[in-house]
Amino acid sequence: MPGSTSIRWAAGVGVALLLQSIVVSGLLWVGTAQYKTRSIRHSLEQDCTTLSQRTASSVLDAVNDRMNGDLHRTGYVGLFAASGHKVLGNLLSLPELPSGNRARRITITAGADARSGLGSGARATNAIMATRCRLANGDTLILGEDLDELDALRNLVLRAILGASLPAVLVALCGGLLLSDRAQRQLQQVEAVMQRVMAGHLHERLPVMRGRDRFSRLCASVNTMLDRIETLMAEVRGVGDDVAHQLRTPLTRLRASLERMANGIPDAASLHDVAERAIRETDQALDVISAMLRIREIEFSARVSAFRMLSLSTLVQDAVDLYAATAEERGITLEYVRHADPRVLGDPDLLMEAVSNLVDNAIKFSPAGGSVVVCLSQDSQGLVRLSVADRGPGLSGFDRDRVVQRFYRAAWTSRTPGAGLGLSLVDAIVTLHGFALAFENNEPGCVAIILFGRISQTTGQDATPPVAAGKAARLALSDGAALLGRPEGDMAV
Amino acid sequence: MAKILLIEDDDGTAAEIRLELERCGHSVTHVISAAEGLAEATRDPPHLMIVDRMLPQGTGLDVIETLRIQGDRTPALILSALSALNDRVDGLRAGGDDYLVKPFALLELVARVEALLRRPFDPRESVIHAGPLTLDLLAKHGSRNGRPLNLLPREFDVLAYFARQPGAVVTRSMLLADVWGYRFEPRSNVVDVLMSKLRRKIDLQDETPLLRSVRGNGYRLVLQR
Repeated sequence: MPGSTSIRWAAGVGVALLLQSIVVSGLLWVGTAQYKTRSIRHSLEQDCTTLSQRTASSVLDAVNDRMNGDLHRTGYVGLFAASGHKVLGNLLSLPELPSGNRARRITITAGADARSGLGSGARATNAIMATRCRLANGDTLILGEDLDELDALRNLVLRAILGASLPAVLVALCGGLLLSDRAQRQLQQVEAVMQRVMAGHLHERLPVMRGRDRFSRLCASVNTMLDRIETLMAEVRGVGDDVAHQLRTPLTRLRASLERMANGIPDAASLHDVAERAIRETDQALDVISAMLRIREIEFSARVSAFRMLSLSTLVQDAVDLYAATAEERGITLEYVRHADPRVLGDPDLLMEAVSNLVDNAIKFSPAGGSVVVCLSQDSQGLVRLSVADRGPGLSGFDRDRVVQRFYRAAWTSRTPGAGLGLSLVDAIVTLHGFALAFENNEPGCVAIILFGRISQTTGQDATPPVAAGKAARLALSDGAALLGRPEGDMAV
Repeated sequence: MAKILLIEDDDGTAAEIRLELERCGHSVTHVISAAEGLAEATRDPPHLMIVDRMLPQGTGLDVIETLRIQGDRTPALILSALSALNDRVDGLRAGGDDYLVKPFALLELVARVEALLRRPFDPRESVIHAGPLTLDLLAKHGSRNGRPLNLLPREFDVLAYFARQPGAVVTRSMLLADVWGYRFEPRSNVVDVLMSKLRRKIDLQDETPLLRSVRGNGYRLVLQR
C-alpha cells in the first residue's frame, strides 16, 4: 500500500506534467494564432494599399475577382460609395471601422448571402479581421477575412490537451507511484535492518543491489561501517575479558603469597622474599593497567602539542644502542642499516617507545644465533620506511591481521613473557602520528614496518602533513604487506 | 639533609612518602591543601617541594605557578594520578621540574628528589675523577686504576652519568631520560642487561664492585666502603 509520501510525490509529478502540457500547448496555440492573425492582417493591409491606388473600374474588377475566387468563403469584401450606399460585396452594411489601413478585429452580423449555406454562417455574429481603405474616388473599400481558422485551431489544441495529456498524466501518476513506492520500500528495508542493529543484532547488514546508484553505494558504506563497529565491539568485549584474565593472574599469585605470609613466616629473609614477590606481582598487574590506559590515551588524545622535528636516524640509533647489550646477551646480531637521514615531525618519546617495542619484539622472538636487521630507507619518491626484520617463527597471514589487537598473541608465543600489549601500543602511536604500521613475511621470520609518508629530501620537512602522510603511506604499501584493516578516514586524531 | 615541603591531600600516600624521605635523612613538612602549601612555602621556604596535582580548593599547579611568578625557584616535583600525555606538558609548563605518575615506586620518588636537590653538572668539565675511575670526557675514554675499560660510546655516557653523582640512586627511567633523552618505560629489562654488561667491564672479579643495584630497581655508584 503506497504511503502518503508516495501519493504526494506521484501527484506532484502528475500535476507537473499536466501543467507542462498545458503550457506547451498554450504557447503553441498562441504562437500559431498570432502568426495566422499577423499574416491575415498583413495580407489585408497589402491588398488595401494596392487597391487604393487603382482606378475605380480596376477596383470593381478586383472585388469581383476576389469574390469569385473566394472558394472557401472566408473573405469579406464591401465597396461603399461616399454616401454609405453599398456598391458591391458580400457585406450587408458598412461596419464600424476607423479609417486608415490598419486591419482590426471586428464583429459583424452574418449576411444572408452565399455564405449562409455553407455551414459557417450558422452563427449570428462572426469575428473577422477587416481593414477599411479609402479609395481615390472617395469610395470606401472594406476587406475582411474570417477568423474561423483560429477557432478551429483552438479547438484542435484543446482536443490535443485533453486527448494526449490526460493519458500522459495517468501514466505519470502510475509511474510516479511505482517509483516512489520502490524508494519507500527500500527505505523501509533499511529502517528495519537498522532497528534490528540498534536492538543489538550487530551481524545484520543492509541488502545491497548490484546497482551502481547512490543508494546502493550508501548501503554498502553503511555495511562497511557496521563491519567496523562489530569489530570494535568484539575487540572491546574481548579486551574486557582479557583484562580481567591478565589482571587476575598476578593478583591471584599476589594473594597466595600474602596468604602464606599471614599464616606465619619463620624468618625475616622469607618475609623479605615474600614482599619482593608481592611487589613484582603488583607491578605486573599495574603494568597491564598502565599499558591499557596509555594505549587508550594515545588513541584518543590529540597530543600533537609535543610534536617537533626530529632526526629519525638518530632516534633509531638510540633504540639500537639501548638494545645492543640485550641482543648480545642472547647471542643475536643486531644490525642497523641506514640508507637515509630524514627528519620527521613527531613526539620523540612516543616514537622511541614504538621503535623500541619493535626491536624488543624482534629480539624476543629471534632464535639464538639469529639476526635482527633494522633498516631505515627512503625511496625515489621520498617515502620513508623503517623495517625491523627478524628470523624467528614469523607471523601467519591470520596473525598479521590481528597482531595489533590488544592482548593478541600468536599461538606459538605462549611461553614467552608479555601481555600482548606492545604492538597495540605501537599501533596507537603510529596512528597518532599519521604513519602506517604493517607486517610482512620475512620467510622465515617477520618484518615489522613503519611507513612515515613522503618526506621532502631537500627541505627535510614533511611534505605532507602527518595525517595525509599516513594515508599516502597506506596507499603506497605493496601487495606483500597485510595492512591492518583501517578504513580511510578512520583517524584517532 | 634537605627541608622538603609535601603538599598532598591523601593521607596514606603522604605517610608513605614522609616515612621514606625521613628515612633518607630529610625533614618533611606536610600540608594538605593548596592554600596551606602556598602559605607554608612563603613563610618557610623549603629546599624542594613535592606537590600533588589534585588538591582541595585549587591545584598543585596553581601553587607552583604563583611561586614562580613571585620569583621563587624552588625545585618542584609534581605527583599526579593523571598520566594523560598533555598533563605532563602542562605540569612542566606551570613551572614544575619533574613529574611522577601515581602509582610510583618510592625508590623512584627518592631518586628524583635527590636528583633535583643536586647541583647541576658543570659543563666545562673535561675529566671526571671518581674513586678509582678516570673518565676523559673529550676522548670518551674511561679507565679504572689505569686499566682501560674499553667502553662503547653509550656505555661511557652511562658511566659518566654515574660518576658525576657518586652515591646517588639512579633509576631506569632517570637513565633513559638523562642519558638517552627519552621519557618512556621500556617493556623489558633492557636497562638491567645494559647495566650488567657495564658492570662486567668495570667490576672485574677481584675488584670492589662500584656499580651496585639498589633494591632491584635502581643503581648507584659506590665509591667509599
